[in-house]
Amino acid sequence: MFSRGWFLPIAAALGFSFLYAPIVSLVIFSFNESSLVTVWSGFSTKWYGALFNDPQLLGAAWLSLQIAALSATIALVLGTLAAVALVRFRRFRGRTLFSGMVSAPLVMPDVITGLSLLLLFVAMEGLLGWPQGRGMLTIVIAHATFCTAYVCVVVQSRLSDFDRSLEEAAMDLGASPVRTFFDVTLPIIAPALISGWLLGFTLSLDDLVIASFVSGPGSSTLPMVIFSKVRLGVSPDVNALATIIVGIVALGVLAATLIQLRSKPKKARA
Amino acid sequence: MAKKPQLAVDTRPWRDPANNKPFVRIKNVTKKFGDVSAVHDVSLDIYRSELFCLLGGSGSGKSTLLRMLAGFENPTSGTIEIDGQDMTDVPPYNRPVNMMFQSYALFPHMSVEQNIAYGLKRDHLPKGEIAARVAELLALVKLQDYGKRKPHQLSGGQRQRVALARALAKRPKLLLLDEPLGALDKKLREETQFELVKIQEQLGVTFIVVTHDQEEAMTLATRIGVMNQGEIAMIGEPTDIYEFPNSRFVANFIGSANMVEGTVTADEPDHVRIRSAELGCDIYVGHGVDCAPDQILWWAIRPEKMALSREKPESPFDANVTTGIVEEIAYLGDISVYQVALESGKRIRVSQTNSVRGNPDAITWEEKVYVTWHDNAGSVLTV
Repeated sequence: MFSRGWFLPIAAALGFSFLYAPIVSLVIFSFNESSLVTVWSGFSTKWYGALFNDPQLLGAAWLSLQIAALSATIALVLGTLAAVALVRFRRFRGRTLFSGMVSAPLVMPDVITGLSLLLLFVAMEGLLGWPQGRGMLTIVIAHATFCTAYVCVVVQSRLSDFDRSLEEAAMDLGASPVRTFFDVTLPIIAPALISGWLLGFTLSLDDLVIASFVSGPGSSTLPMVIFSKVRLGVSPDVNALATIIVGIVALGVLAATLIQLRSKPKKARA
Repeated sequence: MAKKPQLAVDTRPWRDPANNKPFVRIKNVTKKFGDVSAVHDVSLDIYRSELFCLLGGSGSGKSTLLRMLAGFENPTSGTIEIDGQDMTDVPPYNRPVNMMFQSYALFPHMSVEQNIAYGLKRDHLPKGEIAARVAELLALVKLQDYGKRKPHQLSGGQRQRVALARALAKRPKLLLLDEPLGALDKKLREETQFELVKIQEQLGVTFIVVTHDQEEAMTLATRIGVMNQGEIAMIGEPTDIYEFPNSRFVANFIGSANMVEGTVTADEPDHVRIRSAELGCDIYVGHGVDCAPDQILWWAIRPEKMALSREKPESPFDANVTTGIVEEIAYLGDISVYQVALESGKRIRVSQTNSVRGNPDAITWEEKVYVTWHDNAGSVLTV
């Protein structure tokens, strides 16, 4: 009954404007000439220029990118291992428990994750002397922790519809298990690995809450710097910065989706 | 008297096991998954250049047995020997055996050529030789123009042939085929059956084929191993399996059979009489049977081995004739299958060839008919 007429277009317009109006206004105001965020006085790109002359912001951005790349990589390795274990060893004891536990961080409130990691790091420093203080290392570990769960879920779904006879065929033709992994398994699950990594990278770049708990002096990530700046009053250069971040995140998510989509129908036909 | 032409050497080594060494030797193999045994104490000898079919329903253990031959599963107990070498603990990548998978398992990210060359590359053959061998195999399966395609650009039948070429590339001593024609439609399947036999004869490779399709097994096989609940129910040539089943299971599983229960009333070296209340007459079997008087056993007969008539036929031993009413007729063109209800209420099936075109005098519904058979037409079964 809703297939024709005005209902569907309007519903779509309402939904999308609810989702995207704030972001669009942010992007528009990033090109505002006025130093008052809410008053439009003309088009300008000067805040982008100001941004690149702000060492604090640039430093934080660089730190964030490093953390995101590192934690996504660690999460990729750990998450893939966990996914392989969950999918391949179907009959091990406690599989259901393990499977639930690996995806629990997906729904865990960030505050709890952050707090528990902070307590862990403090306790470990007391007992083992490592990690010393809090800084980039602790943020990387914390981000890798929750990104692992995301990577695991993505890779798991790819592995579970993986035809195992492909691996058997490779072994049957004389490939050792290691060779089989690199020749057959890896190329086939590569799209899932790439999109898992991109997902982890974006999530790490976005995170404010967990990073605030486990960071130390001198290791403020980009979201933390923005947040502290905004508390002192919104300045237009934050709009410019946010626009750039939105761009990077959108590109990341888009790439991840495209890679997943491109690999799916191929597999279905083969 | 003219001399009989010399017969070619018998190519059926299993008929003379004393003078022929089996090529594949499965000895007392059992495979358990947890508490369930998928394969139970199976022993089987397969000879060089045979095309052996493992036939069974789902869950009969035929695929598990094949996977143990390939090395994907390890037997819980027992040994597997191939060409005189113990293969029980050899991993799949070191066995002189290749397998064609039911799903074909073609590598989706590689072209047809790369798929076929994969096994040869693992053997580190020189590039020129690999290219020559790939071209030869593509010609064998008639896919010369498809070498650069990816598997998803091929039809089902073409993929099946690529899978076969890939499995044959390393010139294995033994080729295992898991439901090789299962994914093809009926027409293509029939054509491919003969092609498969031709390739097998041409190359002389030993084939072991797993299938659930008895027609396929009958067409392809030199011998068939019928499997039931993890055990081998019977091993034999297709005609043995069909004409001389060794058990009620095999008689029912292969083709269709009328089965009745009876009691032995006379047990002589040259004949046996069985009284069957179900059939409503005595069964006279024209050969000796290993049984005892008063023993209860079963007698099975194929529908095409019985004849129908309106008049009561001669019965030399006062046996092998019963009577009933035609209940159903299934006209299949070449033959008609009649379902006859006997006086005991037992229903039997009799098939007759439609040799007269549009016969107006054919037996029809509700007619009273006599059913008769030759004294060697049925099988006496004790298990």
